[in-house]
This record gives sequence, C-alpha cells and structure tokens, in this order.
Amino acid sequence: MNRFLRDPLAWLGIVLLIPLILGAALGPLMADAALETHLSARLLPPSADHWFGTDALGRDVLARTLAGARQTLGLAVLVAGLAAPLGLLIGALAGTLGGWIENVLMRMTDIALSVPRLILALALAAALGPGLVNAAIAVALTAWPPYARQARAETLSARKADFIAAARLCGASELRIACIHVVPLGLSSMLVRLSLDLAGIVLTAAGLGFLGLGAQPPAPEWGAMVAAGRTHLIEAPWVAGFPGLAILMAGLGFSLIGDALRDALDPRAERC
Amino acid sequence: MLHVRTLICAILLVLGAPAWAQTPANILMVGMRLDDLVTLDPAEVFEVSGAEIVANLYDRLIDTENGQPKGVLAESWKISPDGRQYIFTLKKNAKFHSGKTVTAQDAAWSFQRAVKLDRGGALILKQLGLTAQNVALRARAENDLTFVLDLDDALSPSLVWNILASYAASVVDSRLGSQVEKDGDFASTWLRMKDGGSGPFRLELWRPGQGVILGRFAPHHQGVPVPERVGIRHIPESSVQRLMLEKGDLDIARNLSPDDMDKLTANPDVTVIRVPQGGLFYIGMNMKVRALADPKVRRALKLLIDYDGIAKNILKGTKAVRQTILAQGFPGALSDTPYKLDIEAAKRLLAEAGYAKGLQLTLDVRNVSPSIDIAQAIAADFAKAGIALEIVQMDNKQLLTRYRARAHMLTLAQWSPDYPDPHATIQGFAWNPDNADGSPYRLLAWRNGWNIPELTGLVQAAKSERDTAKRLSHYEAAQREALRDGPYAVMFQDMQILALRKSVQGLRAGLTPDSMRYADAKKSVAQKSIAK
Amino acid sequence: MKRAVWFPLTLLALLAVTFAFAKIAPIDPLLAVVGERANEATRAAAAQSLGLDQPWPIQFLHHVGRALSGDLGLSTLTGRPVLEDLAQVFPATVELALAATAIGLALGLPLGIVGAYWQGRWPDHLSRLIALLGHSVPVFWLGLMALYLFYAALGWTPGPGRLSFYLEGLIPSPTGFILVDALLAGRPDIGADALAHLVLPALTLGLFSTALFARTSRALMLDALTQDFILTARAKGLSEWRVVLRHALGSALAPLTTTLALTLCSLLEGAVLTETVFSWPGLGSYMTGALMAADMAAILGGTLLIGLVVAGLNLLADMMQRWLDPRTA
Repeated sequence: MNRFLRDPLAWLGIVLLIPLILGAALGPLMADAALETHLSARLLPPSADHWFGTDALGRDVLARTLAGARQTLGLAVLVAGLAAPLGLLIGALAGTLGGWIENVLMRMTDIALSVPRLILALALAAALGPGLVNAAIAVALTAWPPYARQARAETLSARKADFIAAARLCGASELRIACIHVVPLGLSSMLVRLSLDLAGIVLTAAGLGFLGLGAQPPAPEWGAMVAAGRTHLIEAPWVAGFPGLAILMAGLGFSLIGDALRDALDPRAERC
Repeated sequence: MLHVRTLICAILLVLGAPAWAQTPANILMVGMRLDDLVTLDPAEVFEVSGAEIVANLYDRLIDTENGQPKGVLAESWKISPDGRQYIFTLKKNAKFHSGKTVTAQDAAWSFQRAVKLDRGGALILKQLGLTAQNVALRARAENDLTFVLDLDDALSPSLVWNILASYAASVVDSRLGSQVEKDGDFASTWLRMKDGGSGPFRLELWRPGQGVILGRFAPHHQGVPVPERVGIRHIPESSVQRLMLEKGDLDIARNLSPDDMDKLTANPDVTVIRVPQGGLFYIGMNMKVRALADPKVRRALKLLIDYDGIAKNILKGTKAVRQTILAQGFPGALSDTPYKLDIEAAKRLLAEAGYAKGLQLTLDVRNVSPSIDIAQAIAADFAKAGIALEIVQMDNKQLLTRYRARAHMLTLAQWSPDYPDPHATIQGFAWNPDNADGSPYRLLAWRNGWNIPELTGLVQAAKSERDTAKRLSHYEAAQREALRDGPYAVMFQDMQILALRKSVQGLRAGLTPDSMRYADAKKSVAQKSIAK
Repeated sequence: MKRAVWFPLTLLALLAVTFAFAKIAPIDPLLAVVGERANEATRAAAAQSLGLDQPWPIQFLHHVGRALSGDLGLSTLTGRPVLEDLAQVFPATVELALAATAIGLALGLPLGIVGAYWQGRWPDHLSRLIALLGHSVPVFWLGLMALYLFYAALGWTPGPGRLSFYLEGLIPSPTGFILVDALLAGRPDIGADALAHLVLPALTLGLFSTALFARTSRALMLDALTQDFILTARAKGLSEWRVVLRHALGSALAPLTTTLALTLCSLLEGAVLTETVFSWPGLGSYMTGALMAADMAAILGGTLLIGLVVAGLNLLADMMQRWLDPRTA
C-alpha cells in the first residue's frame, strides 16, 4: 500500500475522481437545473452565471455534466456488480472442478472474449431497444470473461496451497472449497482488474450513449450530450466539450488508480 | 501526443494543405439528405431527392417555361383542332447514354411502362386519361420521329404541358430496357439502381448511404453540360453541411436548420436563397360541425392566427406567409393576405354569430415539429377570443384517417401538389362534385364539407379551357372564393432553402423538386481542375 | 493446433448469438423481404420460402446454412445483399485500423521502452500518463474536437470522409483500399487526397493503439530487463543501448506480435465510433446507419463479420507466437 501512496499518478487519479463522486452525490440537487429549459438563453458561452455555458435548449451544461456523473457512475457500478461476480464464479468453478466442465466453461469464456464489446452491445441494444438498463446488460454480458480467466488462474495456483488440501482432507466439497476458500484469495487481483476495467466500462457506456443507445433524452448522459453538442460544434464547442472532458476525467481517474494498484501489487504483471 | 499531431499538421501545411480547401472549378459538390433515396427509376420515384436526380439523368419531350412548352427531346408539336390529339416531332440528334438514338418508340414505351407499372409516376399520367388498358393505343409512335398522344376529352393545353414536363414523362432507353428486362418487369429492377436516360448527366456512381455522382454526358443534344461531375453527397447533419460549405468542400448545402441558415446568411462567401415550393400549410375547418358552418365563425378563426409572428419566431423563414389556396410561383396565383391577427374583430364576428360566450373546438395535429409549436401558438391566440382549443396530437396516418372520414373539427394539415400545374392544387381545394358521405371523390373540399356546385363547375371548365387567360381567371375566382368563405385558413407556403457559395451561378431551381437542374451551374473562380 | 479446432465452434457460437438477437428483436423479418403493403398470401409464401414456419432448431440450421453459403440477407437500408455491402465497406475499416496500428507501433513502442528503462522515474510517469490518457479518452469526442480544431478552425486537414467525394469512382477498385488502388491506377493525386483524409481519423484512433502498445511493451521490457541473460550481457560490457534494443527488445518481440493481433481487434471496435464522427464509409458507419434504420440483417451481418475477423486474428496470433517462440508450444 505504501508503494501505491507514493505513486504520484495514483494521487492524480484520486484528484480526478473527486469532482465526479461529488457530482454523483449531489446529483439529486442538480436534477431540476439539469432539465430546466430556457429558450431565451440558448447556447450561451461559459460565464459567471453558467460556468460551462448553456446548451441548445438553454440548459446549464455544468448542472447537466454533474448530474451526468450519477448516470455514468451508476451504470459502471451496475455493470461491475453484474460482470465481476459472474466472471469470478465461472472462473472459480472451472478452476476447482476441472475436467470437461473446466474445458466447456473456459471455451465459452474464450468465445465471449473474442467478440468486441461495443459491437455486441450495439447488436444487443438494437435487438432489445435503447435504454440505460439494456445498455448495462449489454456491457455486462461482454465484460465478464477477463474475470473468469483470472479467477481460474488464481484458483489453479491456490489449489496447490496447503490449506486447501487440508480443507479437502476434512471432507469439504469442491464447491464449498471454491466458494469459501478460493474466491476470497482472488479478490485483491480482481479489485485491480476492476478498477482498470471501470475505465473501459465508462467508455463503452459513453460510446453507446453517443450512438443513441444509452439513457434516453432528456436524461443527462455524457455520451448523448456529446452527440447533441455535435449539432452546434462550431458556434458552441462547449456543449460537446465539457461532457467529453468529464468522460475523459472519469476514464483517466479509474485507469490511473487501477494502474498504480497493479504496479504496487505486481510490478511485472504482463497484461491488463 | 498533441505536439506530434501539431507537427504533422504543420508539415501538411507546408506541403500545401490549402489545396484541398476548395473543390475544383469543373466539379459541383452538393450536400443533402439522401436517406429517402431508394430508387432512380423515373416511373417509380416519388421522393424529393429521387425526383431531382432523375430530372438530371433523363430528358422529357418538353419542359415548361412560364407555362409555355419548350422543346427538349421534341423539336416541334401540333395540337389537333378539337384539342384531343397531340403530335410531337422528335429531334434527330438526341442520343441516350448507351449511344442509341432517341426515337418515338422510346417515348411510347416509356409512357406504357410508367402507366402499367402503376407506381408513383402513373398517378400523374392518369390525369391524361391513360390507363393500363388504353395506353398502348393512346401513347404511340407513328414512326421513328413522330409520337402521338390521344386524349379522352380536350384538356387545357397548359395542363397537358405541365404533366408532360414532369418526371413521370421521362423518356427511357427502350433497347436497353428490353436487354435488362426480367420476367416482364419493364426493366424496373435494373433501372432502380442504374440509368437508362438521355439527360445531360450519366449516373457514374450511387453508393447507398454515401451519395451519388453524376458525370457530364458530353454528346447531350442541348450542348455540353457545364460541370464535369456533380457530387451529391449524403450529409444528414445540418451542422456538417454548413461547416463543409463554409470550408468550400461543398458548393451547395440543401438541408439547413433555421439556426445554421441564420449564421450562413451573415457569411459574405455564401448566398442563401429561398425558393418557393408548391406545398401549403393550412387549417381545415369541418363544416359538418355546426359552429364552423357559419361563415362568420370561419372568418373569425382566420383573424385569430398570428401569421407573421409564427413565421418569424417559429419558422424563421423556412416557410413564408401565404393565405390563398395557390402557392406563389404557379400561374394565376394570387398573393392577397387580407387576414392579420385581430382579436377585437374576431370577437365581434363571434358575438354576431351567437358565440359571445365562447366556443369549444379541437385541433388535430401531427406529432412533429413545427406542427406542434404552431398549434400551441394558435391555441394561445384563440383563447384570447374565448375559444377553448384542445390540441389532439397524433401520427400522420391517424390524422389523415380522421380527416378522410370527416371526423375532425379543425385539422392542421399539409398539402403538396403531385405535378406543377395549378389544376392539381385548385382541384384539391375547390372541387367537390358530390358532398354526400358516400362520395367517391374525397379531396379537401369534400373532407371539410364545403358544398360548392358552382365553383366545382368552374374548376371543371378550367381543366378543359384552352384559352389560358380565361382558364387562369377561373382559378383566380376559385382562390378569391376560398379566401373569403372557404373552410381553410391557409397560413404558409413551403420554402426550399439553398445555400450556395458565391462563386456558383446558373443553378436552376423551381416550384417542384424535379425542376432542380445542374447542367448550367458554373463556378466563376478559376481553379485547378482534375484530369479525367 | 487446438485453437484451429475451436475456430469453427467460435463461429457456431457467433451464429447462435446473432440468431438469438434476430429472434428477440421486435422487428418483422418479412418486412425486409416483401415490403409493408404485401397481402397475407404473399407474406405466407415468403415466410415459407425463408423457412420461418419451421420450428426454431430447424430455422437455426437454415440460418447456419445460409450464412455459410454467404447469404446474410437483404439490407432494408440499401436494398442490396448484406454481403455485397460488407465487401464494399470493410476495406475502408481495415485501412483505418492498419494506419492506426502503424501509428501505435511507431509511438507506443518507444514510449514503453523508455518507461521500462527508467521505471519509477519521471520518464516512466510521463509514458504511463500518455498511455493511460490514450486508454481513457473517448475516441468519438477526441475525433470531434480534432475535427473542430484542425478542420473547422485551422483548416489544416480535409473534412470528413475517406476521399474528396468528387474523386470517388474515377479509378477502378480491384482491392478496395484507395491508397493501393490509386497507386495501381497511377493516380498519385487521388492517393494524396486519400492520405490527407486518413491523417485525422488515423491519429485519433492511433492514440488508442499507442496506449495499448506502450503499456504492453513497458510490461514486457520490465520483464525482460530483469532476466539473467540481460545481466550476462551487461556483465560482458556490451553498450547499454545494445543491451536494451537488441537483447531485451528481442526477447519481447514474440509476445508483442500477439499484442499486435489483439490490438487490431480492439481497433475494429474503436473504428466504429471514429468512423461515425469522420463520416468514414466503413463498417462502423454502415452499422450505425443500419442501427438508426432498424436494419437487423445489416447489424447482424456486421457483427458476424467482426466476430469472425477477431476469432481469425486470435488464431493467427496464437500460431505466430508458436512459430516465433517454440517454447510455448
């Protein structure tokens, strides 16, 4: 942990995430300002009244960007909450049970891993219809395989550990061993993976929003806000600019923390 | 990273990057929305973009100019004394893009296929009395250069000219057609994606979702077209069209939002032109509703609309105020605008009609912008005179179903003529041969229960009136009658917004999409041209 | 060769997924075939000829059979067979992805080496920051801002698109790659125009691949620099750059080729968003256009193609790794 705290980039990550977490916490206070339209105050440049300017319907871009933190972070947490446990379970089962079950599970993982996330999410969103929940399901369905792979690797090395052998001698079932003894072992590396992955999840979610497949208007979603700002890019670059910066901050914040964590825990980890 | 990028861009700048700032002088670049483009077969097109491209790929026998015929493929023509037979003599030197000479047989085959295919174009040709059964006899080739058209009854020649000048009457290469025909489809499968015309441009490329490139057909019988290539690129976003126009990557932008149009109007390199179109925006008042049967009430409603305010604040110049039933640009169209927002006068009229205490009405509205915004503005003014207006939003299909069943009170509707003759519009608004509920003719006058036997007779007479001045005077009478007493509050006329770079001249645009011609469009600035 | 066996299975899984998507989508598959005005008899006949009246396992077999014979259905958007459309748009995407990979290699590799060599010092922090920035920036936003700055404001680069549109269709297109086609046809002006259009989208997407290469090469170099043979080389008194570039980098090359293949996969995905921003007429623009028009055949055809290419690249990466480094076999 010392090593983590000494890494300047880790601190940069923390600093980047603070406004977003504040924004997500204060989101409900912003909800009205984020939706209120003032047609007489369209596309105003940044000023003392509107720090980030206003959009095409006269809504305050700062309020919308802050309120958007709630949408994006919420979705990221939802996806992480769905994908990580699912991957962990599948990987731990494969590693513990071995044999043909392992083979089938790991092949499934390989296949799922080989389909690009955004494309699958795009096809799924097209089939299910656009919306925040569908976007979360689509991203989660494509996000679990790396966890499964990692969990399996951890399990395999853990199986050789003495205390597992002891548990087995005591007559514990394989499933019990997997759930109670092996899974906690993989948690720390899963945390690293998760914080690195959060950046990717935020980006995929924003990408879906940009394509009109995420949260629907007038909900303040960063990707959708960038897409809407595209119409007025020339005379009002701030409408697309600030929500995009917010995505960048969130992505970079998560990546920096994850990267520093990984460096601290395993300086020679080969791939993310 | 940024410094790397800046460096690369700096290198490009040094290497003469501004070379791609503008398109060469012999190329005309058009940016427009092409997502409605599904066919280029002249017998099948019905969409705005398709009609326009077809007009540049195919020639017709004639064109019209100020209502008078102008020969295109036809060199001369004759009308029989009884007005029922039209005889055209074709030019000898006109060639199709395939190299074949254009003959009267091609014209006859084109009329036949359009009527027998019974798609978009047939609707227009049927006004001439052509049917799948009689077309082979009525539209025929006497010899290679003589094309004959027989009519049921004598019609006003200008009506005939306007129909023959529409895209439905395009002449298609019949030899090519017989080569590519499949299972008696009149070559429609092939012609959907390719071109079989003799127009000033060939179809060089059509990539769905990307655009269309037209190439100059140098042997064209009217002389060599000016642009060597016309690139019509599909650009759905108004902002991108505007940006590319400002940068000189486009010469013409076609689908600008009111915001972008405003900004371009201030740009010294760009000319913004508004070309009046034939379409109208109006409120239909159902006279089967007791209150609306009273002419004083109808007049009052016409006085309760803020025509200028809506045009300025909501439509921002994308439509123009129009109160007669014939759009500006048609021969004989009257430009009177007697109605202005006048709440006191409207109140007096309502009181005289016995509605001093007010009135409740509903307004059917399409659930799209700007219809909804217009409806809200109208409701606010109606309220000031004591009329409680309930706005009922619905899908266009639903709206038309209610309208055609005379189930509405007021309806906010759009009208667009099928072909560029006043008859198409006047017949729609002021012709009602049978006002009974079971009438087979359900045009606008019937839908609003306007029982006008005399006016119907007048409009019918105009269709066959061969004296143009007299014909137009009939149409003027119909417009005055509808303006004064008709169950319509006509409000606005559609505008085609064209933003051109200042260097572009000679573009021809008119009342209908198929009057857009690129053959004479030239760019004045000398620029490098591309080798071919 | 275990992977080679799994390749067809991956394909089958992809087909199953696309089949399932087509089934759950609330879109009438007959609309694309017979149009909305067809009467019930025509619809029933079309349903029968497509096998839609069969139980779904049979339908799935039909789906597989059709896909294997190259029939991916008709696109409602373009009115053409999906396979034909894909053949036209895919080279544009490959062109973009390859250019971005080249940029990634050229910039990412040095960044990774520098980072590993000075691990924990400021060059490393800088290298990591740049890498993470590339990993975290939304490409669609970066593309928009780049377009705004370099095209709209400064006028240094050409606008959106793959080629000035008026130059389209002037030369035959045997390969589908404009740069190659222009060279073959002896039209350097068209090649230059295409290259100029490529710069901005390729740099946008290239930042992303730079990040990937920098991270991977840093990790591999860190690994290699602590190996015994490096210590031996140093002990032998070889010059420092020789040790780093020859020996350490040499040993990292084999795993790097794997990364190369994997990067191409991620780039295909990034290309979807980049293309949308730059109106690049590739697979991404095609699929997002299809998405707006609810054109299921086109969306699923594109998904299948990308899945297939990714699976193929993975297989290739595996084989290359074995060939370059027989120890892993």
